[in-house]
Amino acid sequence: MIDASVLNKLAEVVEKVTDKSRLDIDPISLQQLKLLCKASHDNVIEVFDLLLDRLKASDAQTRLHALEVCDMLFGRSRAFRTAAAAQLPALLEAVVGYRPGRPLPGPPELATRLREKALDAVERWNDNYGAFYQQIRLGVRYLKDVLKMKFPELRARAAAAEAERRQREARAQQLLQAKYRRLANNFDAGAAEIQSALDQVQRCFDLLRGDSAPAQPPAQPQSAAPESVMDEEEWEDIDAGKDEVDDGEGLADYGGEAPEELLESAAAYSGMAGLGRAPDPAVLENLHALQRELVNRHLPTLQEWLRIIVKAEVGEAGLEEHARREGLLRAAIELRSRITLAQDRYGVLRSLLPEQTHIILPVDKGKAPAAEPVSNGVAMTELFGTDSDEDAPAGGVPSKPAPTAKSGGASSSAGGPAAATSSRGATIGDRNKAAGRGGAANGALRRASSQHRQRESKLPEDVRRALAAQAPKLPAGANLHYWDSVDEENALVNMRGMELQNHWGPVNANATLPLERISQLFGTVASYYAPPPKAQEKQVAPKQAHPPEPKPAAPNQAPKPARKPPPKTVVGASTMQLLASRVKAGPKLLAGLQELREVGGSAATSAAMRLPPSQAIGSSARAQRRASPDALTAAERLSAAAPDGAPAPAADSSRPGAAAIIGRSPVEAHAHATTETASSNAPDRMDATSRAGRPTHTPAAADPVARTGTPLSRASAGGIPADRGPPAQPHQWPGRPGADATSERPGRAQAAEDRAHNAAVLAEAALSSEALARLLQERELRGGRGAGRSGRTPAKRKLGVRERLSRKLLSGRAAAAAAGELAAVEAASHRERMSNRWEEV
Amino acid sequence: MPRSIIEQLLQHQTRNCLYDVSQFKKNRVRSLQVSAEKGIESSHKGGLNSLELDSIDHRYLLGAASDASVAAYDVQEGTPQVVGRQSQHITEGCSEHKALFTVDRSNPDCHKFSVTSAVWYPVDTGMFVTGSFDQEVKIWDTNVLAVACSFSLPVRVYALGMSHVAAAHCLVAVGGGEPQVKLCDPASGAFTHSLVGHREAVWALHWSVSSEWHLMTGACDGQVRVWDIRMSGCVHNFDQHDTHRGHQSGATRQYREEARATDRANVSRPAEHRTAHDGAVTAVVPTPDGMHCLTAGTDSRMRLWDLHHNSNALVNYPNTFNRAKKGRQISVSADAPLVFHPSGSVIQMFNMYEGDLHKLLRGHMDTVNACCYNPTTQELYTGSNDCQIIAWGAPRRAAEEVDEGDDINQDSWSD
Repeated sequence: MIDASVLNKLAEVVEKVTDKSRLDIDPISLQQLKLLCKASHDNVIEVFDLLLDRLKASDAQTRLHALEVCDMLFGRSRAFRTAAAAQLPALLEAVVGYRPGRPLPGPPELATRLREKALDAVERWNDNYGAFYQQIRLGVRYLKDVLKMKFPELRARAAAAEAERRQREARAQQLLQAKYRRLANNFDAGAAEIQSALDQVQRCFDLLRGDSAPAQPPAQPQSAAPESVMDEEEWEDIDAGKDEVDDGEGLADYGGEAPEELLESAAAYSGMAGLGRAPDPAVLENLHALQRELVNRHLPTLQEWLRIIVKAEVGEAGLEEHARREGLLRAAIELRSRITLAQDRYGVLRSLLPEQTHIILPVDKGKAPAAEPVSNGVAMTELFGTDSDEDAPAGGVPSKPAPTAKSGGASSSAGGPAAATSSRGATIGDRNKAAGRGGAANGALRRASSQHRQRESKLPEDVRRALAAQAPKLPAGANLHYWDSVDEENALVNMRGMELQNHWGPVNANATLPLERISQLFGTVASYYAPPPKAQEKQVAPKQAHPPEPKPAAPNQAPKPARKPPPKTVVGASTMQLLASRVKAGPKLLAGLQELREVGGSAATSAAMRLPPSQAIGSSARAQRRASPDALTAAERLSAAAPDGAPAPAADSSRPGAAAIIGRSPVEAHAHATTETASSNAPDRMDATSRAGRPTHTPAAADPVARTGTPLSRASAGGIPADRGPPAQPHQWPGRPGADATSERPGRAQAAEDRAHNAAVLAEAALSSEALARLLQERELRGGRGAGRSGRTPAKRKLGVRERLSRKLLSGRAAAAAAGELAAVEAASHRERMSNRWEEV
Repeated sequence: MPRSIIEQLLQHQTRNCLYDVSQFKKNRVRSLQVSAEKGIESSHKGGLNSLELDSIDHRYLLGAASDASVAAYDVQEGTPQVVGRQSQHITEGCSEHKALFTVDRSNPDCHKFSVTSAVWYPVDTGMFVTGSFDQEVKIWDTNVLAVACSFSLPVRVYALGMSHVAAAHCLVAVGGGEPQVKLCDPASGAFTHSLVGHREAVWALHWSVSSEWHLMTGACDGQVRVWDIRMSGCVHNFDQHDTHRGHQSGATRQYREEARATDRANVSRPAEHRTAHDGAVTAVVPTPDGMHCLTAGTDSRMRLWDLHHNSNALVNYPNTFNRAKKGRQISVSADAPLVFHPSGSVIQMFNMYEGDLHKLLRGHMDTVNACCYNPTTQELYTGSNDCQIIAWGAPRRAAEEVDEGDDINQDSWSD
């Protein structure tokens, strides 16, 4: 039995729900009603009775509400259905008004609506539950057959529509299959045609490359794209590519590779071996025509083929016909990927071409012809390196990156497979910058070169050439983005080459980053080409004034501190590690570092060592942070030692914004020299950052000069490095560490090793157990990371975002702890300052 | 006389068995509802006027409709065809019954107007008789669906009847718009009798189930008469006020004297003026045991008559609303003493001897005119003005289990 209170409640709720003064049903009451009905079957039956009463009200609005509630409950409760079926005649009479003696009450329009709704509802009930409730069947039959009422007949209509649709589809499929059969017959001919076009394009590229570097191995480069290579890569690289994508998520990873490498690889990729040289216009024209044909004619055809092949349902899986179809599909996809590859290379080529060359190409009509073709050439040279010796590395490199980026252009359509091939060394960011058609880097390059041109035309050509010959190499990186931007400090994050779209999670597109952070991210900060040691010593001298002399540094002072570092000092250890991680010095040094890592030394070393070189810079940015105190102390040491310090210009040269880098910084440079430079870097950077805080500082005026051209800054830095390698070889390619470097300084490597060892021992002693635990964990996390620049990273562990984040945090914390302890021993006050700075960042 | 133990046991067993069976039937009848297993697909375009089940097999249902059509339905075997879209959800007991044959306008022998009554030839289903407002009584050969013989009356035909127990005759009693009740002899093709006594149109008649010679008729003048066709004049004219129960009442002498006094009073009242109802009599039906008779009239009363004493049994059936314009069938079930009385669009189930309403059968959308009980399957068939024939049956015993396992017809509360 139902409780009286429940009964009252039900009556009240039903009353509310069917309130005729409302145009819609009160949702709260409806919810209440549902809850009550859900509670028990008795309630449901009671509610039905109440609703039936309301359905007999002399007002269409009330009946409408009641009907809606009925409809709602009918679909939900079986008890309600049973009750409603038993009372169906009364129900229908109230909502359909089928009995002539008892028509529906007014208002008439509402009555009409009520009837329509009722018929619709009853039909639905019949469709869904007619099998269980004969009454409903009978009622519907009566209304339909005897009273000839118009039911919506939704189901019948839907069925008819469905049948029609199926018929249409069958017809379409028939046509498609006919097309497919035709295609299958003609496929070979068409494919051969496309293939021949592709071959011609390939030949053009070969010619372009052959223009300047005839000696280089002609064939096996990627671009020939022997099918075996492509096939093999297509499958294997997918996972690797994904890994790359994953790894690219962290901001720090964007600085993964020195941007200038990108340019080189891009140049090599596009067949532009002789960057300084104008390519043969005929070849270019031919190439362009071919390209146009490929894109305008073959690609659409291919897409159509793919569509047909994919959509046509031919045969069952396992049948011969099916296999044939799959084969066609594979072939078509391969052709398409080749076309996109060619397109891609072509795009890169065009972006690298000086604009005067573009004039030849009809497509580039819109672009303004270059004002100063000659200076363009110079700009190119400066951007990409002048020396003919570079041809060798340029020839050597392409075999690696080219296949990796082969599908960069196609990445818009097929992110996964396109990204797949990049495992060779170019990270995602690199590829996006360098390889994409009209990618950020290309735009940046063009912008940079044009700006360069405008500013630079004051000096005579030969002077500039001379300067360029001496100039340190600036990486083509993010710094080019704000090459001359007025408020470089407030530049948006995404103006600095970060791809916000690729980020997972919320991204603030308007975010700005402090300069130091930018520098760290892009690795442009800790730049040190090798300035002449004298200049270095000169530069350090004035600094003597402001940093207070830390006690522990004092005993380390020596006339030539870096050359003969006191063997058992902590100082300089992490600096050395930092350097080592960047310089990738000779095998000996590497071995020393390896040993160091095995000993379980400082976190910075292990981190730097385990990362693949492509990421070394990102990590080195971190490492530098950690190492800074030591660098600082080293610098202090130096400053104390050096009688003739170099003044401000040197500081300028190492400004974070325009700083020269690093990752491939000349190996020939002496270890001690680099040590000095690096160690001098830290205070300089500090200066720079402090200056950033005070924009009125005078040296800021010199910034544009420093930034504009490396030759200038170079000149102002005052001097040609004495013990740099032969000027003809300003660069050493990272893949080929200079043999002379190793031969030149075995002793230094030895010394570095010693120092590393010392550092390890001391650090081990200093490290708290917590830090050690973290280190262990970190090592475990990174365990899978073996690295080779040329080798595909084998089976990287996939890390989740969170894991990666925690990894970073942990490593950062552990390093900070280690560095902090070290610094506490050495210079408490400096550590204070620096750590504050870090926190800000 | 001493009987053997085995005999006693057997008797006991038999009695028990019979009791069980009757109990089972009783329960079935009492739990009638719209049959979930049988759907009779009416082929009529007009309201049903009468339904009759053949008395041999209790299998073929003959329906007469106001669109001048007559159709027969097999209520035991359904038309081999699945029902509806959700046939997979319907267990095998469920069936749709379509008309075996239909006599409608396409048949040249068809009636012109509404067919008010159609009855089977009691001996077999090879013949049936129909009467219509077009003043014709037609006798049909079922197998060829042609008229074998027809009788023309001067008035509209309201009711037909053939005796189920007759062995000596096969007369068709015809009640029509005239006071006389005509008896047609299909064998000769002539009217054999004209029973005179009623003063208005005869809407209902029924042969006695106990005697092949007795006929009960009800007319619009409110009289219910019993005729013996072997004699002239009527045997009895039921009086609604005659409640004399005779000697069986076991009353005291005084009561008996009183009764005799009322009897005398009754006798003193001229038979012509006695009435069974205060309105037109719409239905006359004897109980299957022949002991009682039920009548219904437009005075919204249903009365039970004791045929032994020809007296009103004084059972009050409440709310038997009735405003019929022609005869209307009521039906009696002997399994449980129940009366099915159509009232408006519902069928009322009354306990026959107590008069209390047992149940209301709802399902028809319009006035119900005909109902017919099937004693074999304990089912009820009703026909109404909404052109539908509904079979009412006991709920499937396995229905619960079947439905439980069915996920479509389940509660689905989303919130």
